[in-house]
Amino acid sequence: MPTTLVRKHTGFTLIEVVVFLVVFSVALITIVSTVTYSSVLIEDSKHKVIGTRFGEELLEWVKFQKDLLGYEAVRAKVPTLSNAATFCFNTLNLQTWPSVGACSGYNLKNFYKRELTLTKVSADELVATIVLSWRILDKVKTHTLIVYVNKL
Amino acid sequence: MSISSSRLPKAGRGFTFIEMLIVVMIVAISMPAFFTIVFSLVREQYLVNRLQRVKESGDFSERKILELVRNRTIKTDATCANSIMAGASAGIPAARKICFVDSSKVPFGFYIDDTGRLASMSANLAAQSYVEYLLNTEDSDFPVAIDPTTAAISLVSEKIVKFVYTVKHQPTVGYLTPVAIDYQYYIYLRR
Repeated sequence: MPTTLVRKHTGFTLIEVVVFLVVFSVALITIVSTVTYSSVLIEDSKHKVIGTRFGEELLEWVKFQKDLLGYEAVRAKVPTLSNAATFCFNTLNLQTWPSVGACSGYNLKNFYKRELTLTKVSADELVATIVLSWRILDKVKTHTLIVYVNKL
Repeated sequence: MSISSSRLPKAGRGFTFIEMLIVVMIVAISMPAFFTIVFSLVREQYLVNRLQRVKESGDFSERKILELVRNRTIKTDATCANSIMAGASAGIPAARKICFVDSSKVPFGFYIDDTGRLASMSANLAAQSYVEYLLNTEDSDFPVAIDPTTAAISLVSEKIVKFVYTVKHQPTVGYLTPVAIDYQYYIYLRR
């Protein structure tokens, strides 16, 4: 075969281009999804640390309220006829009890929502459930802390 | 053209200078972008890690103070007038120190100094110092500091003590942002 038949300007064949595109896009999608996923995870754990802190702060405050006011007074925060009541603690300074009612929005540091639910378990025991929630990409994330408030 | 012609060895034919230049340029543009993303992730991860460690340090100080003050205090000494405590906390403004007496009549207390250290004083500690740091700016592993301008330790009433402080980690390298967590808690003296 004469060597003059060899083309001077050979391009890539369709198969080569397709294989390249497949490999390249698989690699790109993997990298992009890994990056997105880990940045979401990182963001989430950041909020979890801060959210947990806010929750623990309220938990400690509830314990303090029991010491300060006594068990019966804390129990009296739940209306007599109901079994449970939810309070909104979206303020940075914990000083007074808010009136009964869930939070209207995420306005603790413009991001979190801090709610306390007092539930009557028996005459001598209340359960204080603290729920910290925040939103990431329209998904609501929560962190829950529970403390028992006893008469003793 | 025969089928086999395109499969002949392309002896001597490489990429042209322009082709190489374009490839190098694309690599030169995409690599920094890629590494910027990776490094920003690493930096964010480190921020979370520091945040967790700041919380760990802050929680430790809170636990320790809560436990000691809530369950063991029988008397408060708001101005740290006791001679040992006055000596140990000399020069600390009254708004940043508080002293107590425990059930064994041993004086103890806490203060936040101007450099941002949170100290625990106790007559039970070694006589040379009476002071132990709960949060220390000189900790070689993970130094944290309290902002002395916003910190306050106060006796709200005879039986209520309030602690307010912000625990902060200032990284040694300038381009990293400091992380801080606020602490505020009331303690009711049970005894």
